[in-house]
Amino acid sequence: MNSVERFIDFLDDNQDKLQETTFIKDFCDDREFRESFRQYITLTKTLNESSKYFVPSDEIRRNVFNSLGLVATTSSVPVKTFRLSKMFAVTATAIAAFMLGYAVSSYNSNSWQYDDSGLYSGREIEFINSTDDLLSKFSSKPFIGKSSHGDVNRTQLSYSGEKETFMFDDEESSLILASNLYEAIPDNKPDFEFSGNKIIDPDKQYDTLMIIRSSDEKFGFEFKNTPSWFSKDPIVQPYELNRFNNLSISLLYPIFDGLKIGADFRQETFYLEYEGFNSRDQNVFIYQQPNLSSYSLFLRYNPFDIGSKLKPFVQFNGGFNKFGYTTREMIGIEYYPFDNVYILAGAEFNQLFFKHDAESFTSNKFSLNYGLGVKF
Amino acid sequence: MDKYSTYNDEQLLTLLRENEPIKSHAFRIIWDRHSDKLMQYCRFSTTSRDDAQDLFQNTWISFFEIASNDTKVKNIKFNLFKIAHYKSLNKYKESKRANSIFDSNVDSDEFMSSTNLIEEIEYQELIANFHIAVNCLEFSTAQYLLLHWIAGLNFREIADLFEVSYDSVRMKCTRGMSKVIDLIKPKYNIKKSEDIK
Repeated sequence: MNSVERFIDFLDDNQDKLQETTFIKDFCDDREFRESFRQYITLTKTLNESSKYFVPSDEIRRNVFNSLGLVATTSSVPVKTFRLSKMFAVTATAIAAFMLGYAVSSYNSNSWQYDDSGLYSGREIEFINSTDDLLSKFSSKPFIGKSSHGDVNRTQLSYSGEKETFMFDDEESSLILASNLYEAIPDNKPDFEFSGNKIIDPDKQYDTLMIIRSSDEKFGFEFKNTPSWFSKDPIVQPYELNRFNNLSISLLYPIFDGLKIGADFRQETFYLEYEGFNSRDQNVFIYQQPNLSSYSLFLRYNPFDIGSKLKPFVQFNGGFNKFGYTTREMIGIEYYPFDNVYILAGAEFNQLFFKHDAESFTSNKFSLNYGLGVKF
Repeated sequence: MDKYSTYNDEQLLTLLRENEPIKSHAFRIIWDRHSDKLMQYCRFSTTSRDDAQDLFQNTWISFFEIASNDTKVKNIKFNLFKIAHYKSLNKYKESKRANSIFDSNVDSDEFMSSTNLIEEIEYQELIANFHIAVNCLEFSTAQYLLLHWIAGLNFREIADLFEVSYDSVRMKCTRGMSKVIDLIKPKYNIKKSEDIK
């Protein structure tokens, strides 16, 4: 019996009492025997652990599965990731709404008020920092102000030297807030009046709003969630979804009245079914649902307004991702609870055009879009 | 987590006979459990990486065709390596490979991972040297050895597979292993064995 046989028998517990005793004695006395045993253990251990170097490549995996007409991707979708993206969308929207809502409410809760006729238009506010500038805009005659919502009542303004005030400029139809100390004295029915503390520090009270309002709202930024339904029921799911799957960010710029151009970035999946040939020239069906990052440009047109707060729109979108080209058509509506902040909802039809082995294929899906937009 | 991943091999074999997408699920799990060992066996049974990949792919295809139609198949590992062995044998007969020919394609770099530690290199070299040593053995002895130490089949299963006696398998395995150790010993740094302590 050679040494290896003895090692095997010892490790498999196939030795009788005498053989085992002899084995232990040899192990204690014979250095060479101990070395041989160590080598044997090392080799078998190494062989057992070495399978990690023989992981078949993805290409081999695909070849085998395609040859058998099976789906190569794994079926488990990490629910946690999916929930994370939803939670992220909800949380981010809530935070954005809270912050913007806070800014607007702080504006409205300042120590002045206005009546129905003196509707304030947040788009027309500016600072005048010097008394001279302000005085130059005053006339000594009674003042008739305007807002974007129509004429306001006659208001007489006078310099108090102590109090801060604001006024309408009838030439520029803009609301002027003075950082110097003026007081509005209503002639007839007051458009607005101070209440409580009359001293207002505009730097503290209006900074947030000024950032938003002073740029003439050229641009718009949107943050949307776009849950989707594929036109065919998918039989495969991605092994892992993008962290921001179905989330979209867009930047918009008005080019004509009611017409805007925009750029959009979105993380999404499309369900793909297409035919091809494997390395053995066998015809195979391929099912995939890849994670994609799509870039696109779009045109949005508001044909009319419904009241002062609702703006329906149609949108056409063209873009690309690593798989092919995308087109999207959407109808939706923007709701403006505040002048520069809107909530958007829409229904969208998406197509992905892609090629495989010189053959063209398409994949379609429907999306529900909802999110928050800010003009700045 | 996929509910099928907790199924044992016999349950998964039953699912292979179901319709899509269940059979794809089942096959993926079987693949994940056995593909590494099978690829290792294929690589050690062949003289080139391409041959190993062909053998590996053909084995899986044959296994699926048999397992999805034959309800008598109960043991995945045994049947998988049985198919691989017979395909390997056919390949051997075709090529009339001489037992003593060392494979010039075997290179320790093939088994390298991204880690470049000295210990890792020694580890990889040992695997490569084992491959070379196995190629020096008589074909059936090499197969016994691989099926036992790589595939994890016991001597009884190997004896059933080759339709030979248990003692014959045991003797060939032990002698083959002795020869492999003798061949590796000059190239192998004994210091490595200290890690086992």
